[in-house]
Amino acid sequence: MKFVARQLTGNVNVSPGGEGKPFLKGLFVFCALFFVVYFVLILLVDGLITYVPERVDRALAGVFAQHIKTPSSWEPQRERLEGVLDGLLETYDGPQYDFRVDILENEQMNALAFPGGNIVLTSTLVESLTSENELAMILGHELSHYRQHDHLRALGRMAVFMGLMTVWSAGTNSNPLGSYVVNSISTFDLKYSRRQERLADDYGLTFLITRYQHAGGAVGVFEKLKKDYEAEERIPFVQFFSTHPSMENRIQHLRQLIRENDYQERDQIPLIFELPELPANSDSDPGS
Amino acid sequence: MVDFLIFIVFIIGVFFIGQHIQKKHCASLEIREQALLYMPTVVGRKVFEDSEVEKAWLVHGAVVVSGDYFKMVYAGLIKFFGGRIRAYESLLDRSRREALLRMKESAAADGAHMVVNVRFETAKIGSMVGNQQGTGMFEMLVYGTAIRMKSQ
Amino acid sequence: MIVTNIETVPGHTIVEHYGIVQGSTVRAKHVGVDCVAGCQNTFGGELKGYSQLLEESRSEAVSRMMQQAQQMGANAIVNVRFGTSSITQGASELLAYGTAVRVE
Repeated sequence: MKFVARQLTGNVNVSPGGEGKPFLKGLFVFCALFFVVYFVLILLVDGLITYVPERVDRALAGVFAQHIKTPSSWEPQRERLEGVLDGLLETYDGPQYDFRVDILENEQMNALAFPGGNIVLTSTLVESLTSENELAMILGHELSHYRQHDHLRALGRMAVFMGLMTVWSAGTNSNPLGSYVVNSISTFDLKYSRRQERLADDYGLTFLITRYQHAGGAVGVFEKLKKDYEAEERIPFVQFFSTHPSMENRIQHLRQLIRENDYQERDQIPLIFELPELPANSDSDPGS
Repeated sequence: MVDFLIFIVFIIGVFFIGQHIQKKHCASLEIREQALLYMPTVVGRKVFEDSEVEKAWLVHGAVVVSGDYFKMVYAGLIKFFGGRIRAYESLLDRSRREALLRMKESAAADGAHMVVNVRFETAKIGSMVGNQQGTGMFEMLVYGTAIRMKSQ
Repeated sequence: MIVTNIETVPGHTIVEHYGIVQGSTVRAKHVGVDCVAGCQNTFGGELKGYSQLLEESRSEAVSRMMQQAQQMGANAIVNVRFGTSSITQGASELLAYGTAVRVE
């Protein structure tokens, strides 16, 4: 019995083929699969939302309800806003919530519809209004979001997303790849929201027409928003804004609607808000 | 989206650095293995030579290696579909060869003629990112008994 | 190829030995198996998916070890040992090693 030295060639312990190619292939297939499953589920949820009973809808909205508090010195202005909202609610036929308008101190012009019926206007937007009709257009737009169950859709989308992420992380024990897929999906989602915004614009105009019998102020308020959007960069709300179709498109779309339906644009009811300056230190937390 | 692009560039960078390290290591392994090819190493306890044993002592070689971010993401992806995770196969194989070589080198330095009863151990000693799985850190330990024969 | 985990191959004499041969593989099952195993983990019992995974890996490691031995011109491997280590959740490395010999 003797020892014989033998040199091995090649390495059987490493699978043949490179790493780059299977990696790219796997990445591609994985992403494609994820997107397909995600969008199929989204469409399914979206279709089902129409059949959600109103009671469930309200219960769900209650769970996710958020209330932004108006600074107390703005209370009189807030009540005037609410007066206009009450007028619009007479013709509102969507799910019933405890509707409430609040003013949030912010430098950007924006209006948001939180689940549970809390409509929030930013102080800059409120101060820039010159007529009741303009305000009605904004409120009508937000009411349409409730009418279309947009908050439920958003919840549904979130639920689908969380579900997929849970399956994924259960299988792979929190792989960092997942979080990057998340990021890339949120950009794909925008187009979907744009359709909702456009629908809300259409309904907002209908609200305005039913209330005042003319379309005055509808385009005006969007032109103000457009000017504000173009004026400066806004960082905190960037994501929200990017979900809205470009202002120019929306204005053109509204003009076209007005032309097609022969809506009149008569004198508007003047309404100007002056919000007293808040004390520098009472930076009331919006509680978002 | 910017995040995603940065991530992709980072992963590609890590991939090429990893490939470079692997190539260099494999080249060095081959040269050193060639130099120590004469030394018998066996898993069994039997001393295969007939001459008398002068001395026997414990020798070991160990190496701690870490995966990288490319390997981690690669493994995560392969785990989704199932199959062989080549990135870790090559890492573990060459670190095991390195540990074996270190053992043989240390035995040869003390004048051993052979190493018997060789054992391999692999231990996962921790992870890189908090308590998550991370890229993985492994210790490869190879140990055995070095034998020195009486010169004839 | 004769494979044993003792010093010798009973009934044969070892004429030459070639040193250590080793085979290893790192494998994983697809995400479905991981999910099922994750659920079963709560109640205990055999994880069929993972049993199969390790079984496959082990036979692959042995066959890789045999390939190395064949390259060396051996016809038997004695003193075979196995090692298992976990790489990440749901992926494990199987190692098989032994001494390549030629018997008559």
